[in-house]
Amino acid sequence: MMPLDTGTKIAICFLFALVIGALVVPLLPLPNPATFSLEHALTPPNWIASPVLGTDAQGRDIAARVLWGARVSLTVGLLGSLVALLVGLPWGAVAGYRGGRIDRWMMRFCDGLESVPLVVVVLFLLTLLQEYRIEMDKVGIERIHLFYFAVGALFWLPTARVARAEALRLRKTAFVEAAQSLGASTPSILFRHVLPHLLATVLVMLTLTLPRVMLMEAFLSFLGLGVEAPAVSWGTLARDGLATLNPLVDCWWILAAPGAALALTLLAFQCLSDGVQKRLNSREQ
Amino acid sequence: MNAFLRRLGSWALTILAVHAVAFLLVRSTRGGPFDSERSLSPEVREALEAHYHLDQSILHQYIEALRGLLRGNLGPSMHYRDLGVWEILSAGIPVSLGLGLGGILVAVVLGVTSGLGSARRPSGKIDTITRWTSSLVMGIPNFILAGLGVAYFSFYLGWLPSAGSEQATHFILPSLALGLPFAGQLSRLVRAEGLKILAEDSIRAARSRGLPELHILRFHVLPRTLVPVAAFLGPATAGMLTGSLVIEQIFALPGIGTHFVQAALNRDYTLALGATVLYTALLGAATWAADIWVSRLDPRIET
Repeated sequence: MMPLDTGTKIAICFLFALVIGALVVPLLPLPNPATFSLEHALTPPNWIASPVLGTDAQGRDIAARVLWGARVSLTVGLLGSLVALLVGLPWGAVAGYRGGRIDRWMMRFCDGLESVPLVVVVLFLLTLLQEYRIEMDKVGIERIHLFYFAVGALFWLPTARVARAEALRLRKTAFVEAAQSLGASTPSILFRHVLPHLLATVLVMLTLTLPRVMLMEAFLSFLGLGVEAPAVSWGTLARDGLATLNPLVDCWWILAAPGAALALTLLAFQCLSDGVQKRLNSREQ
Repeated sequence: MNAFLRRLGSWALTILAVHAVAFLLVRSTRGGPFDSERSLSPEVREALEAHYHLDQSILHQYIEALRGLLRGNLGPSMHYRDLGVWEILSAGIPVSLGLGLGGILVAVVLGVTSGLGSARRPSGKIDTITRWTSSLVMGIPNFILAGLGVAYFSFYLGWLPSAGSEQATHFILPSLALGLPFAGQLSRLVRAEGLKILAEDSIRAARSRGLPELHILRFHVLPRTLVPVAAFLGPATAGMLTGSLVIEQIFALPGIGTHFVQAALNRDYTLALGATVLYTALLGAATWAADIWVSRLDPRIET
């Protein structure tokens, strides 16, 4: 087994620290992320003492807000990717395993979706759903829940393609043929033989989909169509940061802090997926 | 010719499908255009609904909308009462196209030159700088890049305007913010392709004939790296289209993206529908153009 390279190790440590930080942020000795204090507004980063990363135009602590935002951004990333996997994986597995006409039609459907600007369409759907907010509030659905499905709907296509390719390969393997000749039904072969073997692929897909979903969340929140106040995510923080920017007062840190958090996380996932892929490849050889 | 017609057909079919689904969704969503503001007397309401064909069956309305679409008339906007959707959007097309072309130009010019430069001497100085910069611009989301660009170049140095669309200088920062992440990806692609080509015997032969290095890069390597570049541009336009939504917003460019986001925030469904259909048409046309370029560069690949 190939040892992990340094980059991947650093990436794993960073992501681990981020998750822990997001989990224990209520216990950390940080100021409340929602407390206004206008006399401390726009304090530049202090780096060692509070406010570590400075404050925004309302005097709220940026470091606290970035860590609280990590909770929302990471949750959306994780749940959104799970939705993408839950749709894409079975779709690809069935298409690849059944093959023939079913495969052709299922994949043609994917091709069709790919020629549509999906982000725009999903934004359009989210807009229409705003009309039903009161009803949704009654049954306890918030906009953020719709969001998981929306981003899931955006990213299941690559997962489906990869799953299909794997299923096509598995279909020809001896153990699947053995199961077929013993008379196992298609669903049982799919669930007991094909899907478990897709797990490694799932792992790689997850490390690739998660950062994309987080980026999409930030993107939509940035436009004002995603996470809503009082909840904070890195997208809404970046939106605040950009709104505060002006030629008179220097306040780059309000934008740079969530931007750096987002960029570092995306980079860490990039390193992680490279590392995981290398390792899986080396195991196969 | 046959391939052209087939492509045209699928392009038109995609637009029609998106339009039909979006139309049905808008019509079945509760809340008509005359629900929100002042309550209207029944007579006025009836007259308005008759004017916009809202009193007829949904099939009839759809046929009406389809006829409008074919004539380039996307109906009235629900928010800007005096303007038609097409009037609003067509004013935004030149701005969005300018931004999109600027982004593609940035991506291709910077991506190809830096990729070739770093392929020439792997792990040399240029290569190291290029690889670090490209992973940096690929990692930072474009709206953060845009914001920091505004903070530095517009507010701190005061070199470039931060918003507006009157002059060409207004498009420099937006095009950079839109194109740089794609330039980073292209740079990697061109570097990998260039390394492969530079290791070939034909290049060694060219060098042994005493051709200058720049000549080799320009006439022997560059043309062959353009095939993956063109193939990359097709999918990249979809990403640029998404990116343009935020970039237009940040730099206050009155393009299609700004109108679309405003429509989403204003619940202007007809304008959002029109923008969605227009985006579908533009994306289809852009990927088509990229495919044509690929098949021009490499005739073995058919469109």
